[in-house]
Amino acid sequence: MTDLHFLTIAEASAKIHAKALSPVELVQSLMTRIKALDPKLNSHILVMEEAALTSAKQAEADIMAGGWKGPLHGIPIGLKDIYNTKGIATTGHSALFKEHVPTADAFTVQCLREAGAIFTGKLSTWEFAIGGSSFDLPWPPARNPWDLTRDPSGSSSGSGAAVAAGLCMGAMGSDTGGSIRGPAAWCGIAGLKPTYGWLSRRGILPLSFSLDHAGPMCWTSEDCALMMNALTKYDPLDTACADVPAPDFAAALVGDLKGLRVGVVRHFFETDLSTDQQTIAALENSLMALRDMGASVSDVTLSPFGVYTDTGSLISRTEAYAFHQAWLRETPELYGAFGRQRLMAGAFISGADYVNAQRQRAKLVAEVAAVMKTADVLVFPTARCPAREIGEDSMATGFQPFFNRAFNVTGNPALSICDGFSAEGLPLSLQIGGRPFEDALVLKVGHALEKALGTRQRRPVFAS
Amino acid sequence: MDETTFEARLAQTGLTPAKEDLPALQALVADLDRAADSIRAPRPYSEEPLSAFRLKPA
Repeated sequence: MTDLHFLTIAEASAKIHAKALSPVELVQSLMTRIKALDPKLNSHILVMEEAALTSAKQAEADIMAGGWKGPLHGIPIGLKDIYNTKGIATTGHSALFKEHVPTADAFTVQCLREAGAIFTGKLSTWEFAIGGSSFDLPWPPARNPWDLTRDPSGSSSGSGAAVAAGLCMGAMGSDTGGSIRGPAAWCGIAGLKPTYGWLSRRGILPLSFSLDHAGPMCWTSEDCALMMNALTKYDPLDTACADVPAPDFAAALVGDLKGLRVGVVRHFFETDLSTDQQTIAALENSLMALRDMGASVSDVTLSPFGVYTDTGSLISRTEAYAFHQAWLRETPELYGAFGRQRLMAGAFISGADYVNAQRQRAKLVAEVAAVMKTADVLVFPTARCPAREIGEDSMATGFQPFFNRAFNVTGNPALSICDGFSAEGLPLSLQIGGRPFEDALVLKVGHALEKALGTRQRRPVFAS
Repeated sequence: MDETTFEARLAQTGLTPAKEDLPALQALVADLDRAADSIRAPRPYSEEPLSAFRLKPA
C-alpha cells in the first residue's frame, strides 16, 4: 500500500469519501513528516499544526455525518506565503512583511476553504515572488527534495518542494514569469498557470498586476484539475477576473487524444536558447507518446523567445516597482539583496518603454492566437536543464533556465509536467500551452502523458 | 539607449541603494535598457489597437 503521504489527491479523496481514511490520520501523518524532513528542506515558513488538526477533526465529523463536500474535503493543502490568511501572518518571505497579519483570506483561499481543504502551512517563496533563493532573509530558502544541494527554483519554491516531498498533497503557487512552472519542473511535479484572469488574485501579494496568475501545484495533472474545480469562481472584486463558465476539469481528463494537433515551438529550444540534451531527448520521447496516442505533431514558429522575455521583463519590472516604490525608498534595508536589486531596477524604465512593451505584447498575443488556429496545444521544455546548485542564481550569473515567460505575456494557460529523469536522477520537464480558457485540454494532455510515460511512480529518495 | 549616466539616472529615482548593490543593479538596468531598445521599433498605431480601458454597459 502507498504511504499516506504519497497518495495523490484523487486517491486520498476516494478513500476519504468511502470513509476508509480519516482526514485526522492523514494530517497527523503529514505533520510527522514535516517535523522530520522540513528542518532540511525549509519548505515551510509556518506550520499550521493546531489549526490543521482542528479542521481535520471537523472534516471527519462532517463526512461521517454524510456531509462530504467534494474531492478536496479533508485534503491537506499548503499556501505560498503571499496568499493572505485571516489572522495568520502572510510575510512574502520578507522582513518587510514579517508582522503582516491580514484581516481576510485571499479569494482563492476562501474557495479552497469552502471546498473543505485543510491548510497545513505557509510555504517558502522567493521574497515577494521575485527575490531568488536568498540566504539573507528571516527564513532560509527552500531546497530541492531530489537533491538538497540543488535549487527548487521559484518563486513558488516551498510549494514545489513540499508537494514533491509529500509534505502536502497540493499547494497554491503564483506565476508572473514562470513561478509555478519553474519549481514544478525542477521539483518534478505538475504545475498549472491557468488562463490569465480565470483565478482571482485578490488577497495575494501582487508582483505585476497584468502578469500575475494564481494556480495549483500538485503531484499530478489530475490533482491540478481537482483543485481547478474549486478555484475557478468569478470574483467581481478582481477587475481582471473573467466571468467564464468553468467545465468539470476532472471529468474532462477522460477520452483519447486522437486528432489532437500538437505544435512544437522547436526554435525556442534548438535555436533561440541552448538546451540540455537529456531535456530534448525527454521531449522527443513525449512527442512519440503523443503520436502513439493518435495526435499529430508538427513544428510551429513564433517570434524568438527573447522577444517574449524582453516584453515580459519590461512590464513586470515596471509594475512591480510601482507597488514597492515607497518601501524601496523608505526602508530598502528590509529587503534581501536580490529582491531589492531586482525591484529597484524597475525604477529605470521609462513610461514610453512600458507602453511600447504593452503594444508589443498585443502583437505577441495575436501571433500566438494565429498559430493556435493550426495547433490545439503548443509544447516545448519548461526548463533548459535539470535543477542547478542552490546559490547559482540566474540573475547573478545571467543564466535564464526556463522557457516560461511567453505564456505570461500572452495569458494562455500553460502546464509543466515531469516527462523523465536525468542520469543524475533529477526531474526533466515538458510545458504544454493551450488557447485561452482551454485549461481543461492542457490538463488532459498532461494527464495522458503522465500515464503513458510512467513518471509519477518515482519519488525523491530524500522523502522516501 | 539612454545616454545619461547610471549615477544621474539613479539620482532621479530617489532611491538610495547600498554601495554593494550598485554593480548588480547597474547590470540589471543595462539588461532592461537592451530589452527596451529591442522593442522600440517604429510601429503604426493603426495596426496595433491597444486599450487597457474598457467599459461595460451598466
